[in-house]
Amino acid sequence: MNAKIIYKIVAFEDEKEIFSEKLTFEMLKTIVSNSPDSFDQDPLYRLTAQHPSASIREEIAYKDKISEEVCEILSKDNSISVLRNLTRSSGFKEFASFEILERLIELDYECAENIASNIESYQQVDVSKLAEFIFQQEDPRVLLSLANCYSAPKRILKQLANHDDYSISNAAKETLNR
Amino acid sequence: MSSEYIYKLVVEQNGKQVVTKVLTYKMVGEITSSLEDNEGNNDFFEVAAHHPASSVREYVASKDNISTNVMETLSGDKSIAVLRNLVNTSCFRDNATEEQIEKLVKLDIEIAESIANYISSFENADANKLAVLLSESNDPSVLATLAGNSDTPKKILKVLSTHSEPEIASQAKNSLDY
Repeated sequence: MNAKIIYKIVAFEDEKEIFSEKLTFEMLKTIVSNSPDSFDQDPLYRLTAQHPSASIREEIAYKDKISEEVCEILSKDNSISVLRNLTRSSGFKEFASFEILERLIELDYECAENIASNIESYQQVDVSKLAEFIFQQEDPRVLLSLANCYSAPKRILKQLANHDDYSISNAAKETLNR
Repeated sequence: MSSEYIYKLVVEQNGKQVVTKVLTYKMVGEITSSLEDNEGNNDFFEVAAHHPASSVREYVASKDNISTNVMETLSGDKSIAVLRNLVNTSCFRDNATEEQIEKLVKLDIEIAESIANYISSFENADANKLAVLLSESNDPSVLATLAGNSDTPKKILKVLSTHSEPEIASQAKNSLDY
C-alpha cells in the first residue's frame, strides 16, 4: 500500500499554531521551485519526487544537488518533461547507469540530445560505449549533438564526418579540427 | 512587543511528521501571490496580512476578495505599497469608511489618484465630499485624474475646466461633454 503523504503549511504566532492547511500542488510547486539546490533538502526532495503532480517532479528534476535515490526515482518517471530536466542535472550525470541512459536515449530525442551533448559527464559509464550507442540512433538532431561534442571519441567523429547530412558532417569536422 | 510569526512546510507520512521546513518570506510571498482570489482563502490571507515582509502583505492587499477584517488590518499598514494596492481592491471600495479614505488621500499622491479614479465607487463615502477633498490637492496628476473621471460632480468639473494647467482643464471639459 502506498504511504499517505500530506503537505501542509502551518503558521505560528509566538510559537503557537494559528493556521494549518493542506497545500495545493501549485503551492507545493512554488515551495519546491524556490527551495535551495542543496543536498540538505534531500528529505523533502525524496518525498516530492514521488508526488503525483508532474509539474512538481519537474522542479525536483531541475535541481543539480539531488541524491542517488532521487535520481533513481525520477529516472523511472512517466513524464517526458521530468526526464528531459533530469538529463540536464549534474546529480543525474553522477549517478546514471548505462542501462538508464540507454533507455532514455531510446525513449526521447531531447533526452538523447542532452546526453549526447555531455557524454563525458556521465561518471558511471564508459564514454566510448555511450558514444557508440548514441551513434546508432537515427534521429539527425541526436547525431548532430554528438558531432558537436568534443568528448566524443575521434573514431566516432570521423564516421560522423562522412555522414550524408552535411550539417552533421560539417559539425563533426569542426569538432575534429579543434 | 510585536508577535513573531513563523511559517512552516510540514510533511506527514501516514500521520507522522517526516519533514518540517521553515518557509522563507519569499516562499510565503509566492504562495500568497499564487493563491486564488476567493473567500475560501481568507483564513490564509488573515494570517499573511500580519507577515513582517511588506512584499507578502502587498500580495494580500492586491486580492479583491479579502474579508473586512483583513482590510481593516491592512488599512493601518505602514507600507505605502500595501496601501496603494489596497485602495484598488473592491473590498476596500465596498467597506472603507470615509475617515479611512480621507486619511489615505492625504497620505500619498498615488493613492489619491486611485481614489479620484473610483470617486463614485466607495459605498460608505459621499462622492461630493471626496471630490472636494481631492480638488484641494496641489498635485496636477491628482487633479487631472479627478478631471478625467466623468463621475466627478459637475460642480467640481466646471471649476477644474478653468484650471490654469491645460491638461486638467482639457480633461474636465471632456468629462463635462461625456
